[in-house]
Formats: sequence, C-alpha cells, structure tokens
Amino acid sequence: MSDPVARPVFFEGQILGALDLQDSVEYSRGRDARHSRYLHTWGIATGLELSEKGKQLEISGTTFDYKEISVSPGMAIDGRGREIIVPEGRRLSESDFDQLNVAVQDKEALYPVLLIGRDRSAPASNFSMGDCATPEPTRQVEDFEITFRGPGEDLDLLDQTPPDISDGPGNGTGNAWLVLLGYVKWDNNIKKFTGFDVVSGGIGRRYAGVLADEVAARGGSLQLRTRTKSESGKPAIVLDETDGGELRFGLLNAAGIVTPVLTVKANGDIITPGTVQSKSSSGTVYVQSGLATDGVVLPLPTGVKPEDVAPDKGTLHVQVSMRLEGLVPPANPAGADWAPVPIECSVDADRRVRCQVRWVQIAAAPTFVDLPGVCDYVLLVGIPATGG
Amino acid sequence: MTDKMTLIVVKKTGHVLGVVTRESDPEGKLEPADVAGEKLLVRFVGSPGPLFEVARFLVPADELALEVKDFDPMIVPRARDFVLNADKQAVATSGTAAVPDPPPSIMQVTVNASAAVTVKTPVWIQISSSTDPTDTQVRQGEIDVNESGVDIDVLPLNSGSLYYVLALVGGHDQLVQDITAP
Repeated sequence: MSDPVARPVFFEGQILGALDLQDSVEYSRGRDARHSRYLHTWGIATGLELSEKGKQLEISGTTFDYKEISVSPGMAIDGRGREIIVPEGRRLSESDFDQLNVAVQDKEALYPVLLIGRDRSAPASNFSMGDCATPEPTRQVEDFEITFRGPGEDLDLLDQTPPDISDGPGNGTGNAWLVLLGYVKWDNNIKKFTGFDVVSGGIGRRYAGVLADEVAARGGSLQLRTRTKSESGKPAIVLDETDGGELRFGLLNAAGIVTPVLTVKANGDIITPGTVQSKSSSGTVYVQSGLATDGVVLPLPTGVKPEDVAPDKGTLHVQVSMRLEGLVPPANPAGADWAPVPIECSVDADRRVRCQVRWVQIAAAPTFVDLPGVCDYVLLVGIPATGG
Repeated sequence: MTDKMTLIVVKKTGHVLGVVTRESDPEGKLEPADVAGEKLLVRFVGSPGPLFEVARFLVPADELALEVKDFDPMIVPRARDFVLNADKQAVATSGTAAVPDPPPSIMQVTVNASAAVTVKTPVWIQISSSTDPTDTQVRQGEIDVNESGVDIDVLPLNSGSLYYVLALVGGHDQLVQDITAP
C-alpha cells in the first residue's frame, strides 16, 4: 500500500536534524517525479542519439572493420519519473558488453542498448563533526548506467512495473527502469561493435510524451507537428481562428507555415486539391461497366468491397449482353460461312460470366461449333442508407 | 469507351486466359482475385472438338497476374490466342505443344514443344480429373535449351483414370489434352 505524502514543517526553536533537511529535499523530488509520471509518458526527452565511427583492427595480419558507437548528451525521464541526464557524449564499452555474455554468433543480431538512472554517492566531505566522526558524503550524484541485453530481449520494456502512487523517483537501486536508446550489432570474434540501428522488429526508441485531456493555445493558433523544430517538408496540423475557425493539414514550408492539402472550415466546407477515397458510403449507387470474357468475375466498382454486396448488405444489379461486334468465327473449314447464335450469356451468384456463342455453318449440312464469347456488362451496387 | 483493357495472364508463361475492361477507373489497382475469384473458370480451350466442349479448369488466382494494356479489338474476341512476351507485349501464340498419352508414369507428365527450343522455355500445366474439376493440381517446369520437352513430376494419378491437362508452353498455343494414367 502506498504511504501518504508528508510535507516537512518547522517551528521556531526546533533543532533541525539531517533527516528533517533530507525530507525537505525528498518532498520536492517526489512531487517532481509524480508530475513526470502522471502528466507525462516516460521516454527520451532530448538527445541520447546513437552514432558510429568507422575503425579498423588488425589481428594476426588480417584487418577487420568495426565501429565505435557513442551516445550523445541528452535526457530521459523513466517510468518512475526520474530524470536521467547524460551530461556528455559517452562511448559504449565493448568490455561491458562482453562481460554480460549476451552475444550470439549471428553478426546481424541486434542487441538492445538500455539507459538506467543510478544514484552514486559523491566523495565524502572534508568537513566532520569531530576527530572521531567519519566524514560523510554531502551529495548524491544522479548518475546513469548503460547496459545491454540479448537479441529479442526488449519485448518487456513496455510492461515494466510502475511505482506506487505516492512514491518518489527512488535512488536507482532495486528494479531499475530501462529506457531503450537503440540497438547495436556485435562481432563476437573480434569483440567489437559493427553498427547500430534504432528499430528492431517494430520496437524502437521511445520518446517522452504528454498526458492531457485538454490542450489549449493562448494565441489563437494550435500546431501539432512531427518534429520538435519546425522543419520544411514535414507534416503538421494547425487549428486556428482563420475565417471563424479552420483546421488545416499539410506540409510545413521553410517559413514554418503549413501548405494545406486538407482544410476544414467552420461552416463545414472541406477543401482538398487531392482525391477523397472512402469505404462505400450508405445511400449511394456505384456503377461499373465494360466488357468481359467467359469465366471472368465481374469487377466491383471502385470503393466497393465484396463484403458490401454480401447478403443483407448492398444490392447488386447486373446486366450482361453478348457482344457480337468483332466476333471471330471458327478457322476451320477455311472459307466457310458462319452465323453466330448466342446460347449462353449470364452471370452466376459469384458474378462469374458464362458467355458462349454457337457458330452455325451456313451449308446444306450445317455443323455447329461452340466458342467462348465476350459480353458487355453494366454492374450497379446500391448501398442502402442507414436504417434502410 | 475505355482505351484500356486488363489481361488476365498465367504468371509463369504469360498466356492470356481472359480479358476485362472497366469504364470507371480503367487503370485502377486490381488483384487477380478481383476478376477470378478464388479460381478462374477456363473452358473452351484449344481446337474445337469433343474435348473442347467438356474440359474445364479452375485456375487458382495465385497463379495469375493482371496486365493493363491499351485496348486492342483484335485481342478481345480471341484473347486465348495471345501471350505476353518478355517485353510484356501481347503477341499471337505460335507452335503446337503436345502432351503424350499415356504419360510415362502415374507420377510424371511429359510436355513437348513443337521443336527444340533456343531459350529456356517455361511450362505450366494443370491436371484435372475428368469427373471432378476440383480434383486438380498445378505443376511447373522448364524446357532446357536445345531440348524439345520436359518431364514434370506430378502428384500420383489414379491408375486407369482419365484426366484433362491444360498445358501452356511459353509462346505456344494453349493446349488441352486428355490422358489416361498408366
């Protein structure tokens, strides 16, 4: 069960102990952590990008290529609400990786690179209470650790156990919270990294976010975009008060202004220079026509799916007629006169055309040859309005 | 009228099995299953005769491909006389393939071209029971350069039973042949 949050208070003449001062610090840390946990989602806040530098290594006269992988400075917020700050770039340690014994022989395998917040005591103070007292540290360094896991061992990162409701950020001991920075490749023969990636199997770097049921602008314009800075060519959505209210989607130009490809106006007008595609809408008739040869299933009009013409859904109307224009009579006997007679031109329940023409040789003793035919078709699909 | 047509072809050999046109969105994306269902009904193949009247095949949609071409009124009424060449152009078939009856064994069917081929030539066959068109199998092979035929392994045929074979040899006329399993 979670403990109530206690705020230190003081009274005149009170003798302050170290615990009183410590509680004051912990109260603020806890409040910040709860804000980060419940008003934000955890992940990378800035930086912490992986980068590589090509290197070569010579072993017994053979040269091997490998990569030095580094993490750039940055900050993340973990699921406990703890800030993890990497103050300067850090090269990933090959020896740390090797000691974890997670390597497999597959050189293309991707190993998760994980960031963990860890408290570390600063060196003890030179100041002491007396000759017999042991100097104690007066600072805790909010440090970090970078670790690795085996390939595929990243599936549980979204299911880490959150702290109790009133807990603070902790000191990084116990069940550490793991923040994924990316993946590295490893050559177990030369014990070196050979590359990195930011996504593996659809799992990738997770960025910190915001939990909000209401987002309000103060200047009359709200912009939602896919990059932290306004970048030309990147998509954005703007909601502002143009013409009494307007929603615009499009790509940003160099000036940071959205060039709209979709605009919704306050009066209900929807404006787009592109095409609007949708699943079939109710109360509509769709039409397709053309010609088809024997055995073919008639194609449905664009926008209509087979399930739309299932029983109790849309209504299918089909008209087919044999196409006599351009018919080619049997080749044998050469020079004979033939007359075509349609004997079958229909569509079955699967919209499959059955079209057959009987050729009658015009002679004293007529002979018959049945050949596949071609039909003209018109196909209408009626999608009933909602409610019938 | 639209100036485009969609040819339904066998992926392996390019033989045209059907044609459809669409006035609306004539070049819009279609999948073979949209115009074939699970299987395309193919009947009246080859030269008119007793077999021509009765043999029918259900060609699986995943054996098919679609090609949108400029409308050609010469192709539509006799589409099965055409095949797509290496440049995906529809050209008239030529040459007569053959399927010797009986086949060499219940586990092999021989398909011959009209003459020794100068390039590796794809072969596609569908074997259907004469009594049950759903009892069917599709097999593929290739005739090597300077060879005129190929033996294609098939699932065991029922000895003494009659089968219809739809045989497509690259560039050759479509062929339907009946065979009796030895």
